[in-house]
Amino acid sequence: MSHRPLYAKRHHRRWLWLLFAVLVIFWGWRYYFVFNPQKIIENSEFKNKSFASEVVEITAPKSGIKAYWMQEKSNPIVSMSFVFANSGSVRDVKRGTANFVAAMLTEGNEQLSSQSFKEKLEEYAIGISFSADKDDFSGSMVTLKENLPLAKDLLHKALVAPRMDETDFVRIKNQILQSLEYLHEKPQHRLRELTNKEIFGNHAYAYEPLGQINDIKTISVEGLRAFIKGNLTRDRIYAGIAGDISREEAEKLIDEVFADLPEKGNDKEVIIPEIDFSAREVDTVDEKLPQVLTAIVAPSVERLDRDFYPLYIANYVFGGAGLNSRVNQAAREKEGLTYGAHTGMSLLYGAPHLVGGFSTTPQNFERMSKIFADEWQKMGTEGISKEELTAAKNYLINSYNLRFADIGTLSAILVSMQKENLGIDFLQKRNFYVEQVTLERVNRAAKKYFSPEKLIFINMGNIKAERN
Amino acid sequence: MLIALPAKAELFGLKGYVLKNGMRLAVVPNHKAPIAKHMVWYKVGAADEELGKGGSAHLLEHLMFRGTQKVRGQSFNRILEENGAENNAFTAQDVTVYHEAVDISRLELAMALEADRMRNLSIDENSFETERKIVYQERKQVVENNPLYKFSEELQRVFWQDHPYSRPITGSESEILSLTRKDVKDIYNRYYVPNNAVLVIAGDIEPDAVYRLAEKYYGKIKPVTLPLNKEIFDAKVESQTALRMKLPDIELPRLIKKYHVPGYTEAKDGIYPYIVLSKYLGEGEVSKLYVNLVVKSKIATGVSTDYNFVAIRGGSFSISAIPAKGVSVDDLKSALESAMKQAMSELDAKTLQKYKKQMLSGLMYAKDNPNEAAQVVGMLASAGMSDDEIENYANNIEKVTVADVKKAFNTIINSTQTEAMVEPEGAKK
Repeated sequence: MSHRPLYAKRHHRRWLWLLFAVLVIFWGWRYYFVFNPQKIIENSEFKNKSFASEVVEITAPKSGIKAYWMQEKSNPIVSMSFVFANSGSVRDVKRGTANFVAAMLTEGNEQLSSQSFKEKLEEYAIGISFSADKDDFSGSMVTLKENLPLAKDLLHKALVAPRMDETDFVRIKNQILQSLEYLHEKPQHRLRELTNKEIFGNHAYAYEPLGQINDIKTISVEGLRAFIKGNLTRDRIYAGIAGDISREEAEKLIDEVFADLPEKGNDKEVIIPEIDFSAREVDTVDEKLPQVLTAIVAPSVERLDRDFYPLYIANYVFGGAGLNSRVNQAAREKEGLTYGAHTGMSLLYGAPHLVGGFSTTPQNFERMSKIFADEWQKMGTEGISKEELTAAKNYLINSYNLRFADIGTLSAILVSMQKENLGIDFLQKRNFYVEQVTLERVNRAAKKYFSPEKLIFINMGNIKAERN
Repeated sequence: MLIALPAKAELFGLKGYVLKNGMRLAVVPNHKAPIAKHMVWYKVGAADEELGKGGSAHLLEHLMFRGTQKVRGQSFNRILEENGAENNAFTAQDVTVYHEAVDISRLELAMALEADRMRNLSIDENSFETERKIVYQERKQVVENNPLYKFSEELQRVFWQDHPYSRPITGSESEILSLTRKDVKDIYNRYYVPNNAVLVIAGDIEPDAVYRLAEKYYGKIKPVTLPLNKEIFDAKVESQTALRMKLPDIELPRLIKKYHVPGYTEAKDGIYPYIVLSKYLGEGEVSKLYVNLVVKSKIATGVSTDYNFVAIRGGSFSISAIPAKGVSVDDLKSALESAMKQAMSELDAKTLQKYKKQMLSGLMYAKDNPNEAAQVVGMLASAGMSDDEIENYANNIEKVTVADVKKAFNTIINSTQTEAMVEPEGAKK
């Protein structure tokens, strides 16, 4: 009897200890075994900041050419990007002309031989380059602020007085021909050619800008000069200037580089290709390839279409989000069938389309294709969830500042803002555009564009073995 | 005549620290945009694998995305995605690197996640099996789909002989398929420790703040004694070799000459003459070999040189060339050899100064992009360079004399070397 109260008391205290132990274990568990990203961000010493620089539209006093300019003075560097819109390989009379021109513009000018020109670039650390894609002829210049006068003179002369020595012309021609051979070694390139042909038929888009061997062999210096005269003209320039340069200097730069170009060139109209998106599988058998390579094509929308952001998000969830995308989760992360599958939006002028692809060893090919097709159908019928929409928006908004890492990218962004007609306030508004996308809009776009009736597979590899 | 350089020419403006646990930290401030690049360079790679375990370092790199005790399953990628990070990893012979480009408000998150997976990785059997299948597909896609891979891997074997660099980073097909969980765990447990890592952070940050945060997130991880890798000291390459292949499905012949020369580990500041030599001979379209073989004699359509001094187990110097149509690889080889001699006979103080100026005039660009700055700093620091050594690049280049470059050239041509040629199958000799 006498020990009973004592027992009761001890019992009571034991519960207290137990409670204490549970609390310690719980908080310890929370501390050691639960990772709380939100808490880390909230307590972070570094808070959200927006990229501060402002975009201004400027007008060159002499030529009246308008451009976008952004002053960014963290380093004494100036970058200019520009495009001659719709003057890419779509303008080729002989396949490969635009690309050939791009290579020849850095082969000297009327005063400087090719070698002297290149030595100047190296000596003063000036970067001048040109390129042609299917739609546009593009150029860029990057220089230290102190060498800007020389850089703009070299760029100006590259455009208005390219040298085009016969010996440089022959060397570049041979190098282009070898680049074609080099690319042809790569199955991924052969698949691209097959895809181009299947989607674009006889349209100019069916050809890669690098060109065709037989055409390149017959291109002449006169042909290159004719291309320049007809396409590198003031009526189609979009230019962007970023870096350590004042507004006045930027306006002068535009004039000094572009004012001497012809006002007008050839007709700018582009023949819009008619694409048959009806579902099909196009197989090319190549038994020697270690993997079957697949490209997919489906309809998409223009940059300013109401469905652009909704479809962008649907595509992101489907195949644009890297390892986290649905198709990679299903095929790669769960079953290990492929190193990766992806999809994205191509904004070819007048012919926007979804592109994508994957590759896998022949024995996995049927399974991989089925997963892709099933996920495609699922996206079309079910769309995405509220959680997926939130995750996609979070990614797009939180990653936004990453694009401002490089001065060259900055000037290129200024060009696409003008060319795509995104508005001078695009950099401020872009996250708002993303935020306002609703689940309903995404799923309506998904239903329209992720349709099994409009999905083309182009396969290349040892397909027969598996299918028969 | 000396090139005018600021009193203290700094390449990146980097500031270095060593955490209490031995982890090295390099910080490169860049205030252009509110972003940061966060990279962890582990000084372990394919060359540290045991024989027959090829691909285990690379497979481990993949498994690092498959969850820890705290950040389970695939949460690592999910968390970073929702926070707008661009993250990835790569495996090389001497290093395995994990990196995140983040908005500055997410830098601490990246630090916390990377610090967590330095020691707490959990590898379950299921993830292991799936990820092994993925790296198998990766080898097929990235390596074997390119028909030239047979030549590249054969050249690596012939050039490096018994040295660990002779093996492919992905492992061979049969090695990949026979790897076990234990193989990758062994590498993880031995080498994924703070005192074997370099942390590089570049972006909109102040160095001292980053140092404090690095101690907060990484500082609590205990250092571990590292194993000594005997192979580094044993594998000597002493035989001259030649490789000649004919391959189906390739269209362009290639000639590669590869030389065993000291890298940073052996040569320390002796690397700079080789760096200048490479620029002079074959980097860019005004380099001597390019002008001679491509522009003037038109025997080649391309020629380039490369000096790899960051490989810690042995440097190499390579010259690659593609013959012009109708020129045989043998003729190109003779022309290349005489062009090399001619280039050296033309080297005088004035010419050298011109090329050095080209190398130094654009250094400002190194500071522009924090992602690229982090990449270069990480690579040099992992190769063992001190912060000062990295920052003093310009001064070290400036000091190189004509005699230094000529000596480097003589060392190269008298070194153990491999001459390799590949031609399309069916091509005439």
